[in-house]
Amino acid sequence: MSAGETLYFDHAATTPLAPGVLDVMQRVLAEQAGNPASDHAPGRAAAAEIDTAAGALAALVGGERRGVVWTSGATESINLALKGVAEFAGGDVHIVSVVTEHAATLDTLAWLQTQGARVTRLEVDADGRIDGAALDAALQDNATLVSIMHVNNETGVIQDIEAIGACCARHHVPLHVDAAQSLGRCAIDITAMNIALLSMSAHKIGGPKGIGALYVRRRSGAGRAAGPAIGLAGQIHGGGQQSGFRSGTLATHQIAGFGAAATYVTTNRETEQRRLAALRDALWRRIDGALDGVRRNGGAAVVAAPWLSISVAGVNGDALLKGLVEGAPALAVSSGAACSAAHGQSSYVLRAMGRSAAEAAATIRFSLGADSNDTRVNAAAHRFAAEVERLRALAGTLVAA
Amino acid sequence: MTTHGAKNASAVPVWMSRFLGPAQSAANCDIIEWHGMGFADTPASDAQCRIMIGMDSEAGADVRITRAAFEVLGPPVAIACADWLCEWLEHRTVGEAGDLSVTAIEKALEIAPSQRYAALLVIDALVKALADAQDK
Repeated sequence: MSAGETLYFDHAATTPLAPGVLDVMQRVLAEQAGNPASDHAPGRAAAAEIDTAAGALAALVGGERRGVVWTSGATESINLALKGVAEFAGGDVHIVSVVTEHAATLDTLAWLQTQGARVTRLEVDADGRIDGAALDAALQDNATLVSIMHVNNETGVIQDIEAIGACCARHHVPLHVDAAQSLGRCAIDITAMNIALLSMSAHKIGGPKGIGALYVRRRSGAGRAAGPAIGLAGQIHGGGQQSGFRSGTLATHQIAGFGAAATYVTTNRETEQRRLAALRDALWRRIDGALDGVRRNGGAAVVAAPWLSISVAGVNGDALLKGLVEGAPALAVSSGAACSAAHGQSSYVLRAMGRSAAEAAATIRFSLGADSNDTRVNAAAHRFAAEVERLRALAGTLVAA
Repeated sequence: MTTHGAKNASAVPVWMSRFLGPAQSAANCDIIEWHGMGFADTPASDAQCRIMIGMDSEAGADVRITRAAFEVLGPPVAIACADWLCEWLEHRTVGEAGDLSVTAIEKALEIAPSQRYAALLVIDALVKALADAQDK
């Protein structure tokens, strides 16, 4: 750690490139000028790079390379999944989701409602998890699709996708999983989990920004696809690339970078996540030991390794965040949501978990990653505690009022 | 002008330094008895402010404020406004203090229109502190 260094604890927002990714991207940019849709040697060479990347990504989620549809990122993948299934299904569309989903899902569902779709949003418990019985009940109402995020972006809370997938399979309802935050961090097996659609993003796993994928379960062949093929209408029309699911010339270097990142995390995931969980728990112990009035959101047993969400009493959320990111040393963290309780903008995720508006507003999300180590965790804990104490001192007698 | 979808990293507001390093906090002050104290808050209590003033004598419009300090539980801009106000108050007369406008604070700290509430907050607390001093 060097003087003036920003302590980066915002890997849920984005991650630095994983080792080897930049080299692969530069090589592909320099050497693969062909359009991967072209039927000549340069085109076939570019297509081979994409096939390699699809294989790497499919291996990471236990799928087949032919199921990978490249997109610009998880937001587009989610839009394609939800709108594509709704359009293909037609008629009475009923989508079951959760109140704590990312805006990419919530906003798309809200738009689908304006087009006549019905949406059921399941509540969560104090740990942020859905109730299996409530899902089971919702699926009895002629459900078209279930859409659930694997790991929550604000809290890191993990939904039990295997149990959710089993429930969906019993009701013959396809399951879409938003894996933007879980890819490379949690084990994903689209067959064991009965996943029909899986949204993914490269830049959360050490790949480049601007590239993502939607895994689409295809008709059972020699592969191990579980369940029927999912009906999906493409949402971007044009050249008919990617079987018409998503037209447009593929960005070979971006895709190759995504593939390289997928290969890297496939090799390192279990070891790295154990290391991050230990560091995350150490960070919490140091903060909890230094400060009164702090609360960890989400039980440790159901939170993905990199996440530590802390609500703080006796400080204003906006002041805490600004003090951390603008002060010195700068601590790059996130509130996870707009942070003014007064303006009704406190985290809807934390409110759904039963936190008060004030608690939800004064909440900081740490998310650890490859550059996290014991030295930086110690520095971050010290900096965080000092900032909370500074703000409480500025509030003086008002804290107790 | 910011790039669409990205924040302008170089645009640190003028008031930020006062938030990060306020000199007028009551926590830094060893005065126990003040001549006047005034409290104000925003309707939803997202920002609370207490202004404390010390004077060189007990009464009159020409009386000078010798020391001012604040307590704020609220957003960064509210802390910055309170800090600027308390610094500005020192060595001013009670009459001058009573004439301070919200606009003066807005201009001095270049706060955005959406943050005007912070200037109003500290002015409200000041008015009450001046009234409290007059009542004593």
